[in-house]
Parts: sequence; structure tokens; C-alpha cells
Amino acid sequence: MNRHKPWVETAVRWILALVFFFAGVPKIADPGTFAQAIDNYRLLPYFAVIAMAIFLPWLEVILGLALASGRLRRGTALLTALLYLMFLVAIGSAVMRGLDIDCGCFGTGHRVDLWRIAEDVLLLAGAVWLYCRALSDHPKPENSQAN
Amino acid sequence: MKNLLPHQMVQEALLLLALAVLAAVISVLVQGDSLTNRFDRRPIYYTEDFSSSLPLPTIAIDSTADASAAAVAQQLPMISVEQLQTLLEKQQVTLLDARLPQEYNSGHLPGAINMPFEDWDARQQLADELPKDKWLIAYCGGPACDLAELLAWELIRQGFNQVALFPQGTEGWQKAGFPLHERENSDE
Repeated sequence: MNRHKPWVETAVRWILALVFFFAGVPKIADPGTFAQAIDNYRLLPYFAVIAMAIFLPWLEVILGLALASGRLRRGTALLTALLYLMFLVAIGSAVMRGLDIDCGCFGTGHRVDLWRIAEDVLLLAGAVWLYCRALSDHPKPENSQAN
Repeated sequence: MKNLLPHQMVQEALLLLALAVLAAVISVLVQGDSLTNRFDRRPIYYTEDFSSSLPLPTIAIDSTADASAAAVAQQLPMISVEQLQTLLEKQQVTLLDARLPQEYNSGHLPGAINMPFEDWDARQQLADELPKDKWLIAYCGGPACDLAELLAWELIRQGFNQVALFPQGTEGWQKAGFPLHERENSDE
């Protein structure tokens, strides 16, 4: 599992980092619009919408920084995978319910549709791959250390 | 499960979450004005931010339409349950249900056409067929729902000049003791 060129992992990390930056920064600049975008999904109560609108962009930017720098890579891989899974569920549910809304992915102007799902699946695949890499790099408990 | 979530991985994840929370709290403190002031629960219509380009409506309530409880200028004319009932009896209005088809099917006002605000294609198709000589009354679930208002503004933007709002929606209609209709054919 570890026998692959390290630049592949670096490339995946940087792609995901850039996506997080481009997604997070406009939302930090305009949390009101992002709150509206979240609310459009009709999944969360008002309070949760506000909390998510403030918190999520910062999480994206911090994960972007962590991905780019390679720091805290295990936790970053886990959160990145969970975040994309959450996005996928939200976008998928909107498509299934026939909501014709802005996805709120990168500021405004990105309609929720099958392309967004495909895009999300790709990013999720990258995140899951990083997660698996992080798991395989993790030191095995006692017995495996004996060797 | 432990193998899938090693201790160190969870610890790092919690640290990142804590950093994000800290950054979010600081941003709220620095920004000063509350986000809730800027967030009024208006859905974003994906093609454009129409809220910045709304035409100022110049609707004067047509006395023949008997919708005398108009709001002041630059606001949508609003009608009460009683007025709506009168208008429906006189068949002077077209009622538009701005909710999603599932909600419309579960119960809507008599004679209402489903024109879901959030479905661009359906909305456009219906807009071409709407009568220009009748008042269009938009409604949704109730006062807390803003789909009707958004639909009304959108219709005004498209050139309809006799658009009003029934803010009480299905909730107010039922409270007034009137029944909702289910699965009415709205093709005509």
C-alpha cells in the first residue's frame, strides 16, 4: 500500500487543499449568502444554519492549510472524508427532492445537479484515499512493533 | 472500529475542529454585526441574485379586483383570507401555490396552480401560460414561509403587473375554517 510515488499523495492533497480554499474563502467573506445557501437545502433549523454558516468555512480553510502543509495528516484525512461525505448526502438529497437551488459550494452560481454530485464523488474518493493512506501509515499496536 | 479510527487520528481531528471553532468565534467577535441581520432566509435563485435587481413594483391595486388591503408603495399588495375568498368567488384571480409539488399535492387552496418557486423549469413553463389580465395571487405554507413572496417578485420581474401575496397561506386558510383540496388537476 505504501509503495507508490509520494508525489501522487502530494498532488491529491494539494488539489483538495485548493478546493477547500476556493470554497472556504468566499463563504468567510459573505457568511450571510452561505447561510441562505445552507437554508435552501431545508435540512437544518435556523440556529444550526447560522452555526454552520460561520463554522464550516473556517473548517474548510483550516483543512486546506493542513492539507497543503501536510501537518496533522491523519486527522485532516478523516475530517476531509467526513466533510465530503456530508456534502454528498446534502447535495444528493437536494437532487432527489427536486430542489433547484444553488449548491453553496464556491460562493454562488453553482446549481445543485448531477455534475455537482459527480464532482463531490471524485473529491470524496481522493479524501478516502488519503484516509486509507493515513491508516496504513499509522503505527500498528504492540505486536506489529515487535518486528 | 478502533482500527478505522486510531486514537491519534481522532485527536488530530478534534484539534482541527477546535481550531475551526476558535477561528469562527473570533470572526464573529471581529465582524461585529450579527450574521442573523444579513440572513433573512430568502432562498437563492441559482441564475442570479435577483434581490439586488428587483424592479420597484408600481402596482396600484385595481379596485375591480377588490384587493383593497394593499401594502404601501414598493411592497407587494397583500390580501386577507376574506378578500381572497371574495376574489375566488368572483373568479377574478389566479392562485399560485409556490411550494414543491409534494406539498401542493398534500393540500392546496381551491383552484390553485402549482408553480414551485424552487423549480426553474416548471416555473418558466407556467409563467408563459399565465393570464396577463388577471391578478395573480401567490401563497405558500403560511406567514413563516417566503416562497410565495419570492415567486411574486419573480413574476413582477418577468413583467406581470398584477401580482399580490396571500401571506397567510394554507395555514391561514385552514385556520379560517376553509378546507384544502388534495391532488386537484392543475394542468389547465
